[in-house]
Amino acid sequence: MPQSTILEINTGRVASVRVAPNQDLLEALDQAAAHLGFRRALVRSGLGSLIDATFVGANGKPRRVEGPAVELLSLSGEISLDEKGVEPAGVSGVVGDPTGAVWAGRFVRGLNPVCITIEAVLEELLVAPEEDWRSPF
Amino acid sequence: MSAFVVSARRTLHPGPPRADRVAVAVAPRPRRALVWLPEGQTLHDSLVSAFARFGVRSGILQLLGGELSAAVYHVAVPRDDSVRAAEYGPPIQIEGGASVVRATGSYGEDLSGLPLLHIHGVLAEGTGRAYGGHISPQLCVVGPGGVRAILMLTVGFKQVIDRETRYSLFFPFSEVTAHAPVHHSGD
Repeated sequence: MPQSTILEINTGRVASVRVAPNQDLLEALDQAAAHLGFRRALVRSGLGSLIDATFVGANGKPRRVEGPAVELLSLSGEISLDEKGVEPAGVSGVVGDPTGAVWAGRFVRGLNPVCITIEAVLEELLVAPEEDWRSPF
Repeated sequence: MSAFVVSARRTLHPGPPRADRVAVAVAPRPRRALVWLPEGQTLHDSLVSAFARFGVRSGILQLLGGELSAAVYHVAVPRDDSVRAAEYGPPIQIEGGASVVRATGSYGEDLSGLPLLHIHGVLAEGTGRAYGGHISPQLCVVGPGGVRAILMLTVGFKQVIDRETRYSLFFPFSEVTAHAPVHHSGD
């Protein structure tokens, strides 16, 4: 029976982020994390507007919520700039379309361009040294 | 919702693109506070009052839950008479109030130095149907039982004139460390 992979963590610095129009939401968050030296980060929140929002569909194909402006209502997830290790959870969110209908899912990289602005918050995720988290409490 | 997506669309804005495409401000382990917003006050007044008690000029907030006796939000609508790429439509009121499902917001000074809030979130009416958009903090009133919120202090935003979009927008601001653009166009 497979076991869960477990890392004991702490949180560190917190950053506010602004993303300009036509930038991709996920690529911009990665750029912000890299600039700050956050190897791993939690996406604590995000609000603003996207031109269109594109989520991973149930069949693996992107599904687009069309604007001209889609309100970003909630944003959460995980960023990892480490090429090795556990696959990060990705970044998910909730959006409101021009009719006020609410949609949600995991965002697809490269297909979520910012319309006017995005204000986001990243929190640095610090993985405790292995010798710490393997010790019994 | 459409099934197939080939590429991301772009929007033309009225002003020249600003150099800083991604900007950040950072703080080492900011202070946090759990607050109960009292019934009868607007979200604006109760949140501004809570931040003011800590004497901070910038912050971040999350509404964890609670009831709104008056619930008002906006969605973006196309406007042919505006040079800006998008505009908020008129306020939409949820009859009978709403529950806060999740909302997050930015807090900082406006161009005049006065406190400003920018909140987006998801609200649910009594039937469970969800609505979402730009929450109007001046028009939303905390309902019976209050609204619970978490505040993060000293790192947040400050309003700046943005010539690219012709809006005055929140940009990152930290009261404890320097802030800087991350990515310039043409880098």
